[in-house]
Order: sequence, then structure tokens, then C-alpha cells
Amino acid sequence: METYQGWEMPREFRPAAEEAAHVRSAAGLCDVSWLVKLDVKGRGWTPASSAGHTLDGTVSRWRLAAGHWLVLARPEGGAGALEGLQAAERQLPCLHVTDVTSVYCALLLAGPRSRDVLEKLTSADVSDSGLPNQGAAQAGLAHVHAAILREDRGPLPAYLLLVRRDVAESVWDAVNEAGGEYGLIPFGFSAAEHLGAGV
Amino acid sequence: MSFLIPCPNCGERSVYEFRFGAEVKSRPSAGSPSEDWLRYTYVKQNESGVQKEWWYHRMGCRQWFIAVRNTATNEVLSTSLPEEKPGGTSS
Amino acid sequence: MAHPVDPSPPGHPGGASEGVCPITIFFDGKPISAQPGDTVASALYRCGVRIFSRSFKYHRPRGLLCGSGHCPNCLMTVDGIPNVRTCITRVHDGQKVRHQNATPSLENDWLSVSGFFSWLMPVGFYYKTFTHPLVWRGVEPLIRKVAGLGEVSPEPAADAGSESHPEHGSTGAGPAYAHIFWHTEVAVVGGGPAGLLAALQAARSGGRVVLIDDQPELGGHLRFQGKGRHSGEWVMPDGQDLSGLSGPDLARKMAEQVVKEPRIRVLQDSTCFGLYEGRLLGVLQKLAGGQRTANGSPSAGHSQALERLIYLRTQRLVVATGAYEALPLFENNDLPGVMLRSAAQRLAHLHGVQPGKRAVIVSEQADGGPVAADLKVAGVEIEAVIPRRELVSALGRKHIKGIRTTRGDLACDLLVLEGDRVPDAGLIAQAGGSLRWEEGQRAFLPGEMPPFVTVVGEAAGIQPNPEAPLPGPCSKKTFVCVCEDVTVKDLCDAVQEGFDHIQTLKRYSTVTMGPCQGRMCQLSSIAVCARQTGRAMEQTGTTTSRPPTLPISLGSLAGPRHHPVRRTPLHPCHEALGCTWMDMGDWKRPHHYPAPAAEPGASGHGATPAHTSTSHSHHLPTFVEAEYRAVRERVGIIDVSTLGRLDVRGKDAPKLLDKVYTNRLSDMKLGRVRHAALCDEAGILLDDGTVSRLAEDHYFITTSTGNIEFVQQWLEWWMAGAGWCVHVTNVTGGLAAVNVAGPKARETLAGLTGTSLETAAFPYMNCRQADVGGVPCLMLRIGFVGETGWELHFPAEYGEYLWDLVMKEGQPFGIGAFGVETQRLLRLEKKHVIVGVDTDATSNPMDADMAWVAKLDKEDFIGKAAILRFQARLATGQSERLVGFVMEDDSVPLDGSAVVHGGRPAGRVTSCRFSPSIGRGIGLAWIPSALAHAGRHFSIHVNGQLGQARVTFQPFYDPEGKRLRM
Repeated sequence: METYQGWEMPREFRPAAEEAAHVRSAAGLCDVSWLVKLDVKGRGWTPASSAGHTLDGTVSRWRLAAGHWLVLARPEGGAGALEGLQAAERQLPCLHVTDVTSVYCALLLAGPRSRDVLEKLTSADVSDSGLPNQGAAQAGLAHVHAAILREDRGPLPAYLLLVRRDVAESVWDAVNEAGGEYGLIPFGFSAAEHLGAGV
Repeated sequence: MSFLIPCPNCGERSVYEFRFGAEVKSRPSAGSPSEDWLRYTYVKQNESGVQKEWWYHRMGCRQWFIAVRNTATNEVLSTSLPEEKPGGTSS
Repeated sequence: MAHPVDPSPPGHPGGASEGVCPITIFFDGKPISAQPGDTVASALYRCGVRIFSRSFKYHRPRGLLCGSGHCPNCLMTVDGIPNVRTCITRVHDGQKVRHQNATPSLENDWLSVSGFFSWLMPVGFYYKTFTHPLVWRGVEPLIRKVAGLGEVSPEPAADAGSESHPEHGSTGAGPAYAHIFWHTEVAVVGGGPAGLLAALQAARSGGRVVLIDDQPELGGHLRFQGKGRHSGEWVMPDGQDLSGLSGPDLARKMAEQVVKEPRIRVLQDSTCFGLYEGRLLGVLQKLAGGQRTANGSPSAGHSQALERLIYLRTQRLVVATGAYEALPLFENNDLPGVMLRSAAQRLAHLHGVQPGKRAVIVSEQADGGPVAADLKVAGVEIEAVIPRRELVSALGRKHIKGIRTTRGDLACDLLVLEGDRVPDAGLIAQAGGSLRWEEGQRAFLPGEMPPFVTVVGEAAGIQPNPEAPLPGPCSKKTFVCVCEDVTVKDLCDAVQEGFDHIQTLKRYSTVTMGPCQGRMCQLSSIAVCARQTGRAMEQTGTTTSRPPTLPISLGSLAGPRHHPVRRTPLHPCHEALGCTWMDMGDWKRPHHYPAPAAEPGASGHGATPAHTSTSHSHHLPTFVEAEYRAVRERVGIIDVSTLGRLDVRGKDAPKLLDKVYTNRLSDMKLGRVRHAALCDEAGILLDDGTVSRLAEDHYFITTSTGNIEFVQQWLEWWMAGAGWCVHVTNVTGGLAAVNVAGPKARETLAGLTGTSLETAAFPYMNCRQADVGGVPCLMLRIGFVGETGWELHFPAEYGEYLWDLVMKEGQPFGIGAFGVETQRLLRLEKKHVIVGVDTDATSNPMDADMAWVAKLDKEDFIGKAAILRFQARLATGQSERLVGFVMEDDSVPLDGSAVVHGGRPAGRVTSCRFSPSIGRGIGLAWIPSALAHAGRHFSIHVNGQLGQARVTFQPFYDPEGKRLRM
């Protein structure tokens, strides 16, 4: 455990290079709850793209539903993102931004077998046509509500799973159990950096 | 029961992701006679056929929407987000 | 039998058995050698096993009949799993196969005597005999022993793996049963030529395809055909012409193309058992056998689950289930050695096993058709070919020795039947398609289909059956249904008894209701019914096909055991204190903490104040007493992170809350907190909690534990479509919360915050945003437990940090953590009602003595009309009332005890505890309103006696609430 992005996070469970190689060939699960998460509700705010959209490598925006967005940011971009949104909040008649960083745990599920793992946990369509890269879906995952955000790392399929913090341990266990047959391993922030940052 | 509901936000999903709300009907205005309130509160149409219903996508977008469903076949004919009518609620 | 025997002659056309790996399986403990490519049944047959099972009722010997997974005759227990169809189950080394429903063995089954008493078991035996419960009780154990199929092992289904995991019933790599959800554009059910072709075509036109086949290998009936050229034109969608190949070669080539095609996902060893609403196919895939390599070790990276249930949603469905043969009717048609053509061909061609020495073929073709040639190649001598009309009965006891025909007896050890071809239409019927009798083809064929379903191959139409199915004589030895031992005589009797509709005939006789789900018997039962009622096949109609089309294990439906658990951010703190957990909905909460061995001022019947009655220990567990004293005398801390928390924002927030909550919330001053309740339109209490106003357009709401989802949905429903500017965000998971309460609460917290906690600056029912120990907190000064206290809400990730900090700061004051049990006692002393504990789905605020929550002068709110009616009813004295009570004696009734009035039950206790401050049992109870007057006595049923209770409307502890405002 080490301080990373201002949070106490696991660096690695086994050598990071080994973890990264394993994720590239099978699947892995990493806790990325340190992400800043901002909930944006209201009509009238139209971000540049309606689908998941990475702005400058530190902030991404995901449309969840009519009048509902999720903005994710790396801590260094978090303050800026919040300020920008608060400015919009003041200008628009009915827009509200809530910092939900503590409300959600974010888990990064990555690797060529990640979709197989996901298919065991959700009845939603997570195929390439059902959930293309940069696509967002909210669906039941291991019997709880989750936002599933697809954010491939280059050619490597990857999904961000956002679940409420109080069920996160339960979901972590469920994903690990479901992933057993596909060789899923937990990995730390060090290997996650190897795979490409993403937001 | 395994029918699909096309959520206006999330697309077609299994009915297990949703919660049934109620039949769509209009609420009596404040001060309406008792009979109106009793009918509104307790009398359900229970249509065997097409009816308008409130549904909530609890595992998905977590929004209420209106579905037109054939209760005999569980075919969902259409769904839509409630119309934004300033000042009035459509329930 | 039962000794390893030599593999069959080399070079047989099956081709799959050329491996060199020796495989040994164990049949009833005896080793048997098998070949790669064998099924369990073919391996056993090669070693001389002829009796594969004993029948359900009469324990008649049964042999291999269909060889293709359509009949019940080969069901055995394989690797601990009962009722496995061994004729389509691949062998693997070390496989353990056991017989079922026979004692001591299949060859010599003592229970076969039940066959001699068949006259005692007429059709409808159960309905006619067991008309009195006592009879049934006496006979049930015997029937359970005699009748039935395999037995479910009391051990979890894990026999297939090496080591079983005691908790999960798994093989170490996850649960025994897996679930997975797939979505596809096209699903093709059936891996025969029609299915393979349909899959290739669909993939070629760009669709994603899932192909489902229940056999170990693709190719359907092509696989077990002779070497000759297969008839017809076979041009693949990619233009490749495969015409002129033999059946097996054609099957192999087509299968290769399918497996190569990346758009096609192939599911082998998989049964599509049903089609459900929403174009959902239930597919059960066998894994333990299917995904093992030839030497029996599980292949790497694969599931160790035994079975996988695939929820397959498809846009289009192609039914290519083909046709199967039904069992013709003649006497002793169930004798081992009587075999359908498909079984004989499979044995000979796929497994190189000689089905018999001397065969009679029943065929309408004079030369016996292709099967005669096949048998000759396999070295079987053909005794005769006879048309079905001439066949009278099979002769023999445990195995066929010959047949009786209308022209005399013939000797044989194998009778190969060309059965009636029946299109496999189970899925078609479930899809809502109609089935109609086609006189030309003498079969029921699919008619109208829903637009998303296509039927191809033999399921859509067959080579005409040469003759209509023969109903056979009304004999006790002619079996219509081999699953349930239903004979033609049974059906004739049932029709005579009045069950002359095919649907009632089915239910009365259980025909078509066995493991084969009518595959062997549907057609012939319709034929018998038609004859006995003098109706045509078409008029008689079919029974209804419902899922599952084949038996599936309950474990596969249940799937992996997984239930979400919610943990608060303070979970590790409670664990460190060694708390006893309780489940509250999905949440884990500390019920109580271990009683401290020696705590100053709180040990046992301790030193301190007012209430030192020695009766405490009789009624109060020591751990509760210690926790109770900490709060009442010093300072206590409880984790309340399970409370639901909602952030409500927008200029119309006051409007929304005034509409939905019974109180008025729009006139709250900033920084104030109000207790508020929700009712539905019927005036029923739904939830209560606190509402804090943080800004003109910003409220912070708490809901009771477990009710957060409901309350959020309730609020959002009432604003749906209203066009208001208001947003509700559930922030429950993001916030830890503790309640710090007691006479020393202020001193404890004062050291951690710069915000003044003095009543003048921070009065009761107010809230402040404050920095506590460096953590941003929302502090609510409220008093659920009846002492000066603050509820702190703060970011979850600081949970443990702040808990530890408060504990450290409170140590000099004697701080103690308290759990749910103590909290319930503390609140009960304040007579605070818990919605959902003290109220139920019929409780309204008027009767619950909570009239103050409803502001009836508001123009409108949800439930107002109903609450007005309840208010009016109060005066009539016709309602039940929720009141507080104090016991007049030493007893403490249990929650739920009955209130007794005039010798009859008249109400119930919802909560009751021993109150240390009163020294008596106190509680809340619903009683008739006639009794609901302060000081009035009523009786409660306690331990078989009546205890006396006195009504009170005042809180039991600190009735004026002075301690809250100190």
C-alpha cells in the first residue's frame, strides 16, 4: 500500500511487469477509486460529445441518461473540471454538480477476456455493438447497480465499473470469482500505469 | 417472466432491471370530493390488454418513464420519458 | 462383462476413435476400457452391457433405444450427477458411472417383481388409491424406494472435480454452476446439416451467430451415415461445392467451416431447453465432461463448473432441431435389443461397436434401406426385413431372443426399428408457432410462425412417413411411454374413464410427462387417443410443449451463490472492537460490542446514579447495560452510516418536499433540521427521517436504513414530468455517519472542532457545516437517543480516521461504542417510533400518535385526503392506536406479544425492553382506541399469563426533553 493520487492504494500484488503482461493476455481488476467523479444533472448542458469523451487526457465525460452526465477526472484535473462545471452551474438555469467521488468505487476491468467476465455478471449487452468503445451503460452488475464505461487502452478492451462504495467489496469479490476461469488477477496502480492511463 | 423493456435512456433491457410503478392516471386536485380520492387511490383498471404504466429503471438510468404495455402478452409497444409540463405532474 | 475388452476393429467409418490414449471408466466400480470419441453408453455396450436401466414403475429391463439423447433408457449417475443421458455423454478417464433404480444390479433387480403386480397399479393409481392421508403416509416410503430415477447426492455436485470445496460445492475454481448472459443476432438450434448451413448463411450476411448443439460433435445425422455418397446438392454459402461427399465427410467439412467462421460461436454439449418471453433462450452447457481433454484433465483456462446456464437473447431464431424417431407400438416393445435405427447406426458408425449378431429389421423398404447395408458392414447378419404391420411382439425376458410376426416366429438378438419420424417441434410450440397434422407426411408440422423464427431442415418438413402411426393393441405389455411406464392399456382405460381429451389424458396418465418430455410417446399417444375416441389425428391435436424441453438440474437454475453485502466505511472499526454482527437488509451492522471486563462506573450493578435496581441483570444483558450507561451517563458513539442520505437541489426543492412530505419544509430557516415523514395517498406511513436546510435551494435528507432506494424513487416519481427545477442525488455510499451522544458529547467533540457547540450558538434541531479533526462534516444536532448529541456526516474515506479520533478524544470522558440493540432501547425510552418496526403497511400517522408530522393546513400533500379521513375517524373511537406502556409487574413481554382485552386478542406489542431508568418493562403497542387513555390498564400475554400494562403518551425518559437541549 502506498499513497497514490492522494489515496492509499495498492502498488502491486505481484511484480508490476508480470501483472501488466498477464492483464494483456487474460484479464485483471484494479481499484481506481481515486478518480474524481462528478455527477452533473440538468437540461441545457451539452458537452462536445454525447458519448464518452476524453478531453485532454485528464478529464472524460460520459452521458448516462437524458440530462445526466458523469465527469471523471484524474486528481490533477479534478479541481479544474469542478470549477468549469460550477461556472456552468451559475450560468444555466437548472444545472447541478455534485462531487460523488466518495459515493462510487471505480474498478478497472481490463484485458482480452474482460468482456467474458462481464458477461457473467450483467444481463446487459456488452458486445461491441451493445457497448462500443467510449460507450456508457448503467446496468445491474453482480446484483447491484453499476455504471459500465468502456474505455479501451489502445487495442486492449477495458471497462470502468462504478458501483456504490458500500457494495464495492462485494462486487470486487464477485468479479474475482467470475473471472477465475479466465485467469483474472487483481493488479495495482503501477501496472495500471503501464497499460496506459485513461481517465 | 423475461420480457424486454426498451428504456428511453438505456435501450432494450430485461424486465428484472425495472420496477413497476403504477397505472398512469391523473391525481385529483386538492379539495376534490372523497369519492375521487378513493377511486384514485384504490381502484385499478387492471386492463387485460394495452395500458399506460409508470416504470422505473432501477438498475439502469434510474429514471421514471411511461410504457405502453399489453398486459396480456407483455409486449411493450412504446416507452417515453414523461413530458415536461411546467407546473403539472402527469401521474 | 465388465472386463476391459479390445477396441473394435480399426478403420471403421466413425473416425473419431483412432486415438491411442487408453481411457478407463468405472461402471458400478468395475473398470472398463473405452476409446476417445466414445460415449459412456457406447463404451458400456462394447463391453457387453445390454441392460442400461430399470423402468420407473415396473422395473423392467431397458436397453439402448434411441442412442441420441431422446429417450430415458440410458439414464445413469455419472460422476455423482444423477439422470445423465449416457448415450450423448463423452467418456473421460476415471469417470465413475453408476446404475440407477435397481437393487442390487441392473441384471438382477429384486424390485422387478413389481412388474407382476402391475394389475394392482391401474392408470390413475395414485388418485384412486391414496385418498386418505394415513394410507399415503404408510406407503410413501415404499413407493419412494420402488419408483423413480436417480438419487440426488446429499453432497454438493462436485464429484467431477478432484477436490470439493466445502462451502461452494465447487471444484476449487468457482462454483459448480455458472451463469452467463449472451446477446446475438441469430441463434441456430441444432448442429445438423440444416443448422450448419443456416449458421454459415447468417454469418455470411454479417450477423453474429450462436450455434447450439446437444451432441458431442457437429454434423447431426450425417455423422453416422454410411460411406456412400450423400444425396443432394451441397453448395456452401462461400461457393464451395461439397456435393458428392459421404455423410461423415460432409459433416466434417461443414463443421470445419463453421468452427473457422469468427462470427459463429459454437456451443457443443449444450441443450437449448426453452424459449422464453423477450426472445430469451435457455441453454444449458455441460462443462465437466465437455471441456476435459482426452486424458481427463481439465483443459487450462477453462471453467471448472459442471454446467453453465447461458441466457441467450437473440434477434432471430433458426430452429434446426431436426427430427427424431418415435417408438412404434407392439408387445414388449421396450425389451433390450429393440433399437431404433439411429441407435444402431450410431453404434456401428461412430463407435465401431457391433450392435448385435443377428438382426431383424422393421422397415417398409423391402431391402431394409440404408440401415441394412450399415449393419452388414458392421458384420451383423440380417435375419429378415419385415413391414411394421406384421410385427406382433418381441420375445425374451431380459433381452430379445426373437420376434413373433403374423407369419410366425423369428429368432434374433437385435430388432432394428424404422420408427416414425417426428419433427422436433418443442421450441416451435414455445415460440407461439402452430402445429398442424399433415396427412401427406403423416406428421405434425409447423404452421404459422412468429416473424423472428425460421424453421429449417427436418423440423420444417420430413420425408413422408410411409404409414400413419399404428395405435397398437390395448395391451399391458405395449409401452407408449417408456419414461413413466404407461401402456396402451392404460391409455385405453383412461379414455374409457372419461379422460378423452389429449390434455386431460396426459395429466391423468402422465403420458408425455417423463424425462423425454413426449419425444418417444407424443405421436403414439395421440394415435391411441384418436383411435379410442374415434377422432382424426388432426382433431385430437397435440399436448402443449413448455420449457424445459428436457430435464435440467436445479443447481444450474440457481447458479452461483452470490448476494450483495453492504458494509459501512466503519466496518473495520467494529471488527477491531469484536462486535457481534447483525444483518439489516443487505447491511452489516454491529448488534452489540463485547461487554468490557471492568469499566469504571459501569461494571455489573455498578456504582452510579439513579437506577441501581438489582433487577437490571435479570432483564438486561450486561453488554447492553454497559453501552446504555455510556450514553446516559457519559458519551456514546454509534455508526449510523446505514441511514439513507439524499442531496436535494434546485429552486423548486421546497415545492417538491412540501408536496411529498407531510410536514411543511418550505418555511424552514437555513441551518435548521426538522423531523419529517412520508405517507402514500392512502395515508400509510412509508418512512421518516430528518430534513436539513443547507441553502434556499439545497436540502439534506436522511431516510431510515434500507429505505433509501424507495424514498429516492418516491421523490423522483412525484417530480417526474412536473417541469420543476430540482435534482435528487443519493449520496449514501459517499458519507460515513456517526452519532455522538451523551452528557459528555459536547466536551468530546469540542476538542476537535472550532465550531461552537454551545446551545446558544448551535441549538437543538440545527445543523452546521464544520471542520472536525480536519474532516469536513455536516453536523446535525438531533436526539434520537434522548441525550445531547450530534450526528456527523462526512466523506466515507475518512471514516476510520475520524472514528478513531473521536474515540481517542472521548477516552478521558469514558466514551463507549454502542450497537443497534442499545440504540433501540435508548430510543424506546424516548418513545420514538421506528417506521417499519412499530408501524406496518396499515399504519397512519394519526393512529400512530404522530399527528404532529402532518401539517393539515398545507394546501396539498401526498396522503392529505386520507389523513383527514383518519383524523375524523379518531373521534369515532373505531381505530387502533399506537401507545406507550409501562408494565405494572416485573415482566418484560417479547416483541410481538398479544394484547388481550375481554379475553380476546385485541392488539400487539411492537417493541418492548426493560428500561433501566424506569426499572420496569416499557414498550409500544397497538391497542383498541377505547383503551387508549393515559393511565388506563390493559393486559399483555406474557409466558402463558396475563401481565398488566399501563398506557402512557409521555416519553419514559426525560419527558420534557431537557437533556436534548442542554
